[in-house]
Amino acid sequence: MRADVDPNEGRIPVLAFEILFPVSMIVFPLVYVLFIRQDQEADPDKCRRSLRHLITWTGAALAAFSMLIGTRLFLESASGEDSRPWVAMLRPIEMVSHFAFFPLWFLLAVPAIKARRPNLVRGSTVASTVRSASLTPRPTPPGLAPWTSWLAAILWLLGAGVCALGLSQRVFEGASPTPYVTMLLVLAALAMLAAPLLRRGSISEPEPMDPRHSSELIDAYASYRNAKANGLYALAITMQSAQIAAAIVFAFGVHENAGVGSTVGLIGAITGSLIGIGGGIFGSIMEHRRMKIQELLGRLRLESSQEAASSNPC
Amino acid sequence: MLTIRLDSNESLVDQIVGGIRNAIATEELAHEAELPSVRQLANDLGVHLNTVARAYRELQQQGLVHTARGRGTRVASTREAATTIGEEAEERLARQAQSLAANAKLAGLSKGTIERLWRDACAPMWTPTKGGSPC
Repeated sequence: MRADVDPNEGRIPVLAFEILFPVSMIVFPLVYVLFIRQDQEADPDKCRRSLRHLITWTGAALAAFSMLIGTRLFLESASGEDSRPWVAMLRPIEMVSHFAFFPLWFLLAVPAIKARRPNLVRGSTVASTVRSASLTPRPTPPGLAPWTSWLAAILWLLGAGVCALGLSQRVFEGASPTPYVTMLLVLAALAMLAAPLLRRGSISEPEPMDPRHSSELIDAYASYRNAKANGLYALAITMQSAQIAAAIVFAFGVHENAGVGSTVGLIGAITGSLIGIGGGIFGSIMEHRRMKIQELLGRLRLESSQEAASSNPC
Repeated sequence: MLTIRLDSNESLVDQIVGGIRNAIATEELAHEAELPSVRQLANDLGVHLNTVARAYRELQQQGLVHTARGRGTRVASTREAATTIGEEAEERLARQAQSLAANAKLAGLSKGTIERLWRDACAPMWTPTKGGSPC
């Protein structure tokens, strides 16, 4: 009987995902830094040093991950009963290695970006001794609130409705709700709570001005703010839609049907990753735009101070 | 537009109060104009929330702004401010003018320079369109 069932059926896509996802996460900070143009004012030694550290630790993280995944594959291929505890023990370590992204990004990639673009730091509010701000309150970006709030509410209600349906079916059948349905209800509630915070955060970022109150800077802030608010909403709505799809799957017990579970899991993992990657790309684009604004602010402040110095006869 | 200097001898609160007073005097901030929230101004200037909150409280005590729940902080009418400040304004200004003149003398500025600086400072406050007498 054992010969009839191929144990590797559906294993290759899962394995490809298990390898490609962490590798892309580990490599992403280095790739991102390499795409950042080095400023003329950047210190070449500092740039080289920070990049060397990033390359070294990226290589170390990749080597550690390769060793772990290689060992697991070797033990799995041996498929002896004796090796199973080792395979089970390796999985959590592999999971931990996915998180290598965070130290690589925050401890190594961010300093490397700052080394390449020193104006990012000089132009910021914190680094400047002369600080300017508009005395006009920033309004809520027009046209955002009405439709996005309604759409988010409709989506949330749909998701909650599907979860409730699944929950009621369980209750009427006298069975306890599955942990999946309970978890989805909690996630839906969290999404509901997070939406206003997300919205507030997206429009309340500092917008320091240059002394001349340049319209170029005002326009850059407005464009950045609108793009960020719209993008965050688009991401939130995509996430909620995916959550509803998951709720439908869980509520109607699709995953409990024989042979469907792994496919549903794989689709869920790929969708989740795509949303995550989309969020990452969006975040990177926004960060790049913010850097551009900081550079513009730095330039305008420099021009203002030069102008003030030249016009002051004393 | 409000500009502060971190390397100034004047405290941050005084600089914010002075900047907003100036904006009100030059009518950059009109009567009943809403001021930015404490959080927004603090974020934009990169200072602590309490610094801006203290500056707003001081402006409120001077009768230059008023705060109402749900309406934010708004510029009070100049008459309201004048009533609060008016009685002792001239005396206080005289003291400040003496102090300014002494500082200018000690800094080695000429009388002509001081008079020019004073004219430049007064010019935006009493433009022909805004009424009042020139300084």
